[in-house]
Amino acid sequence: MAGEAEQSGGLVIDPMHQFQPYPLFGEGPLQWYTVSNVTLWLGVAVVAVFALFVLTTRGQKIIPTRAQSIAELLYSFVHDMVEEIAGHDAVKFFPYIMTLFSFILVANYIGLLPGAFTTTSHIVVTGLMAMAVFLTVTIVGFALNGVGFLRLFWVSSAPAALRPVLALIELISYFVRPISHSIRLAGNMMAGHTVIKVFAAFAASTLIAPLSILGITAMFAFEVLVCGIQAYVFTILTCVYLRDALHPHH
Amino acid sequence: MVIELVTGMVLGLAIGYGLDALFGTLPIFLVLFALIGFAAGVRTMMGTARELTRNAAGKPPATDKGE
Repeated sequence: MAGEAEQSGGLVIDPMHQFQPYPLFGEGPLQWYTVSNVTLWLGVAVVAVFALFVLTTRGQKIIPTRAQSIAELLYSFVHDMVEEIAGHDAVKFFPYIMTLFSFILVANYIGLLPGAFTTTSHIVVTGLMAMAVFLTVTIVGFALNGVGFLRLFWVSSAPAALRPVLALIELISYFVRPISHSIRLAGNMMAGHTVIKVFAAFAASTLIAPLSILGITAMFAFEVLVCGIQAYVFTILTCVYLRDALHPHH
Repeated sequence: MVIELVTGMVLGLAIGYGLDALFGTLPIFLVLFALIGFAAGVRTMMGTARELTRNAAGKPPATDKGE
């Protein structure tokens, strides 16, 4: 993460450089099929998830190894969360939510490695996931409840004159959810990494360097916390949205 | 969670501006939908806050710094 910030003379603070995608092989403009550093680190995250959940549980030991118990812990954590928040009939969506959670968690933590590229700091990645959740929730809601899903927007406890206005508000807040869902994750990741980078740029000056290193350490510890929390928040909100689709009456 | 507030407002403004461009009544729908969007933002924010505090009871606090 630190590194390329110094030049002869003053400080060069370029904290956004780390979010720049570039092609891994050859030169030229980025196309949708170009293998870039984004592709690489998305792949690393998928491989890491595979290693954590498939390779470690291959033995299926009664007394789990350390890695296996991590996988089992995460599994039961997400399973309980889905059952508690979205209800028992939402458990059939557990594989989807588990996939989201494990990918976001692992991608967040891999992004913290020095020199790594944080894929979840890009709105393309988080926006796609939020859009997938939004579409899933909407389609499932209409498939299970039919037109009755629209009762989600019709507040029957309010006075009749207010209901059209409230329906408009509910409709807009329904569309706010995927946007804030994606910006929250990407924004938190990007902000933390940018702050670390700014601190790192100040380390080029000998006088401030000890303070700067202290700042990086503190910020890094904070980021470790934020990475976990943001994965948790993304998953829990997915569960909440899913509950709306399954039970739109309340 | 501040994101929801801002997103609601921006979404309302966008819808209002779009309707105004459609009907040629510039300030009316813009103002109306900005207000409605703001209300929607507040609603979503309160909903998220409620869910997070309810589910965090007994667990470590799930703080969401809205950046």
